[in-house]
Amino acid sequence: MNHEACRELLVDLAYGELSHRKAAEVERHLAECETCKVERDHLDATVGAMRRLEAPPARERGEAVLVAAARKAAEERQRDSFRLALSGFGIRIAAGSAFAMVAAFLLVSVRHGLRPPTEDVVRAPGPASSAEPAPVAAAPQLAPAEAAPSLRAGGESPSAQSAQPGATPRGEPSRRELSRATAAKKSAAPDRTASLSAPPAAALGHQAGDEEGRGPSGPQTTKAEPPRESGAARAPAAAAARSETGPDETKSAAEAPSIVRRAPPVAPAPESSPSRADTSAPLHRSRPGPRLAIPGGAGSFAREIERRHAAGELSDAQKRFDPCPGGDVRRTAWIDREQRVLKLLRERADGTLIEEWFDDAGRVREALVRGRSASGPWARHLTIGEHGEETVQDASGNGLAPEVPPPALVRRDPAGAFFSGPGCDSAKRP
Amino acid sequence: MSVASGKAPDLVKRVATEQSDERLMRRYQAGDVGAFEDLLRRHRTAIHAFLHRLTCDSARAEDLAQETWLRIIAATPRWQRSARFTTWAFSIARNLAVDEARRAVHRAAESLDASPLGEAPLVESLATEAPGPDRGAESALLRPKLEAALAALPMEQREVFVLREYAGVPFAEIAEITSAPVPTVKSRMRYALEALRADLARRGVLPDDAASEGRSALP
Repeated sequence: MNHEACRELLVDLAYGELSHRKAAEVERHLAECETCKVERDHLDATVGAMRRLEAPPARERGEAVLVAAARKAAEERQRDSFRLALSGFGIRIAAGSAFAMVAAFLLVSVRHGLRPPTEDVVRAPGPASSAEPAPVAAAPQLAPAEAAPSLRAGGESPSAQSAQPGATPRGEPSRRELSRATAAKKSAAPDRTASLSAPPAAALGHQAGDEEGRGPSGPQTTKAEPPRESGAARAPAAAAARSETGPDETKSAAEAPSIVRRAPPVAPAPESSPSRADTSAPLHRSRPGPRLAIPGGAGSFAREIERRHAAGELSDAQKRFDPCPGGDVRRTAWIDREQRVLKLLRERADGTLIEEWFDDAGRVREALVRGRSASGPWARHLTIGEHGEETVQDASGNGLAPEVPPPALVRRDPAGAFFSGPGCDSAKRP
Repeated sequence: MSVASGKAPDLVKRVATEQSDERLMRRYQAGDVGAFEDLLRRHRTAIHAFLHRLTCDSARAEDLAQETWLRIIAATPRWQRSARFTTWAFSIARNLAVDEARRAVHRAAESLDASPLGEAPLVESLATEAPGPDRGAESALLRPKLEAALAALPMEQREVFVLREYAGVPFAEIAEITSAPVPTVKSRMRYALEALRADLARRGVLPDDAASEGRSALP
């Protein structure tokens, strides 16, 4: 090694940036070369002197401002990422929904005159559900056809159902009374919920099916008009039927995006095992943000929120958790432009689904809780009044009840519930 | 070699630390503000010190450090996971300081009273800040001379020296930060050391012969 090469490497040597081999080579040269050794000593002396310059102290002021700025930026990023992640999905779904709405509206118009298309959003048939998506208004005739498989337990009108022995959920006699009272209330003096849903009553597949179509004439029409099966007609009782038809229905739902959003199975339809793996799989096919028809009949809150979501007015946010006993594995929130959570969907490790619809004040106004017991799927549809009064219906139509108490509802602050922990048994609530 | 052996453990420590810097940054990207607080506590002093030594102005360094962290916050979504956090952060700080220095030059050109960064008047002003004998401590006497020598370096040499010596940034990363080739960075470091040696010799910090010999010896 010559002087020049050695001097080139002295800085690297001083700061430890030479390999062992190269450093040893330089050191050997330094041991033999006095000129380079003096150079190295001077360099060390300079570095040593400058190293005595202490670091200027950084003042503490401004740190809180920076942390606050970091927090604000993180929150904004999170909101943006939710919007971005879901806007693409929302656009696709909105396009699909719009197509289905237009198709349904045209058919309804042609066959039964004009009806509000927005009421059909939830129940509009998906393109893969039927070769001939029937109009919602056909429900009085069609519902029985659809409901036929499930009529053994829940095909009757609510009052008939409640009167039938065995149709009552075990251990919930009061709910039957509530259900009956609700039906009577709707037919006589509609409350706010009923009044909002009243105008399109004929157009509402589920109401027509539940309260009219699924009457005594049901079984006769079952075979008379099978081709007119539609998502609209299917919505009321299809859930129970689907749980029996199982894989075929769920498969079509998985294959057709619009159906995935509109009418996933009321409950998973595994062959037998109620294990989480089995029960969760069909649910996960409906990801993300499954749009779920309400078998027992949607109230105005759910319907309006579903409509707004279908119209692309709401953003979705999702959160996943590792499975734990009693905890959620996934949460989906629908958020409006004012950053209010209007719907919260929770999927639990045991396969239970809890859908809740909230008013602008963050109070739960409607809920659908579904799960699967050893005997089959169960579902409970709850409407919650302005003062917290509850009306509970057996929405599955098969009289089955949960074997263990269903999860508690999120009564208030859905945003807080969405962002909270998974709610494992030790934590009780999400 | 004493310097080299003294730096080796720091390098190991630094590598280990910076691995977790990137993890913290990823966590902050995911929304964990606590991770940002950790990064802030870990590097706030270093970035401030770098800016202080680069600008030779405490108040300006404060402002630039604050601005650097705000830029870091704003640019977090664009931070790439393959990037080393310190390299990225020092790049932001350095660019801010360079821009500020350019503006200072313009301001100085407009005002005959002002002194551009690194020019003699600033050096003299720093040198005259030397504390009196009543402060006693040798470091207190030495500090203004060291600061003056540092301030006298041209900007491109000073930033390389400060990053390598005080911030512990390897030459390869300094090359990234300054957008200069590694050999250029090393050349600037050698020139910086030569100039410092000469300056410190003039101020009586280093022996004169070392300065004269060094000046001729270094390229």
